[in-house]
Amino acid sequence: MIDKPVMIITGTRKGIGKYLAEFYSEKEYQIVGCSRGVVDFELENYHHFCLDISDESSVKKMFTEIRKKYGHLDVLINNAGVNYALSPVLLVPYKSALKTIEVNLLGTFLMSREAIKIMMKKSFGRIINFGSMAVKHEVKGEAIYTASKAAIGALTRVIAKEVYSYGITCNVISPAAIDTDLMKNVNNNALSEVLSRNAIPYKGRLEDVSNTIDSLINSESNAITGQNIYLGGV
Amino acid sequence: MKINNLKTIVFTTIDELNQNLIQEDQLGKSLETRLFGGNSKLDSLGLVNLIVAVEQNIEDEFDITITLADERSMSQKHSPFRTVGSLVDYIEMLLKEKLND
Repeated sequence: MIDKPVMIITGTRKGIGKYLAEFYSEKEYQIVGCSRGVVDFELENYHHFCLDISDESSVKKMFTEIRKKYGHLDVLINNAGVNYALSPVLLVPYKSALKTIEVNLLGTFLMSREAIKIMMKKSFGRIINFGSMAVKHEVKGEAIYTASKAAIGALTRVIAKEVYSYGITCNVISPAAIDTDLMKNVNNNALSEVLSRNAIPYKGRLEDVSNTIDSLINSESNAITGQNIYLGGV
Repeated sequence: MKINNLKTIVFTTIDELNQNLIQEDQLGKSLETRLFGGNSKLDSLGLVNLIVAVEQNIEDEFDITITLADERSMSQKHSPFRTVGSLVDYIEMLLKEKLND
């Protein structure tokens, strides 16, 4: 058992998740990260699990280990996301759509459900889910991904209502496009056009995400729940 | 699987929950104690607390992970969460299945 706050971050192998693991491991947090593959970094205060967040049995085993090892959980950041269905609806294979929904939506649900079970014991918790500006912009070619992120918004609002009495808040951060692997298949011209619709017509920064998370996970931020915070002036 | 062990685990969990409740809201420790429905002292949050705490205590005792609120329990005509006794029976069935996997 440890006294320092415990934070789970999904999808820490690269991109935003890796950045957040590095960022918060330098603060007072014990970080538990997970991804399907191994990570190529070592951090103090960091423990990694290799798992698919849409696999219920693996997720439950990880939470059992976390509960027994640390005894409590303070923050869950549901960062992991995939976009296997980046093409017009008419060309999206069913299995690609299914896997996108399984990881983005059901993975977020599973992680949240198991996290709440531990958080409620201490009557405190912060859950951060990841949405997307695509939900507001309704970008062609991203129907399934957008639908999965819209569903995360709905999931978050309902969870917020169900767990508030346990001292747990649940919010969504929807970053502006940030250079990660998830963006590598996105057409640059299309991306520029979409960004031009924002108040800030440029790509976002990783620091924008951590600044927002800092505010939401603050123990004083009890009244911010069920919200979707769009970065970049969407 | 010793049913007496399971009963003790559920009773211990009830003790844990009762510590945070005033006397008149405390749950009785008997197999007939209602967990939900008209005569239960638990509200929906209380039932959720109990189910989660029982799952964790089962994990600690048997080192087996179970999900009590699974597809079967939610679709049964007679919910396994009616009474302490029906809950103990349901846990026993789940554990036997896990051990036979």
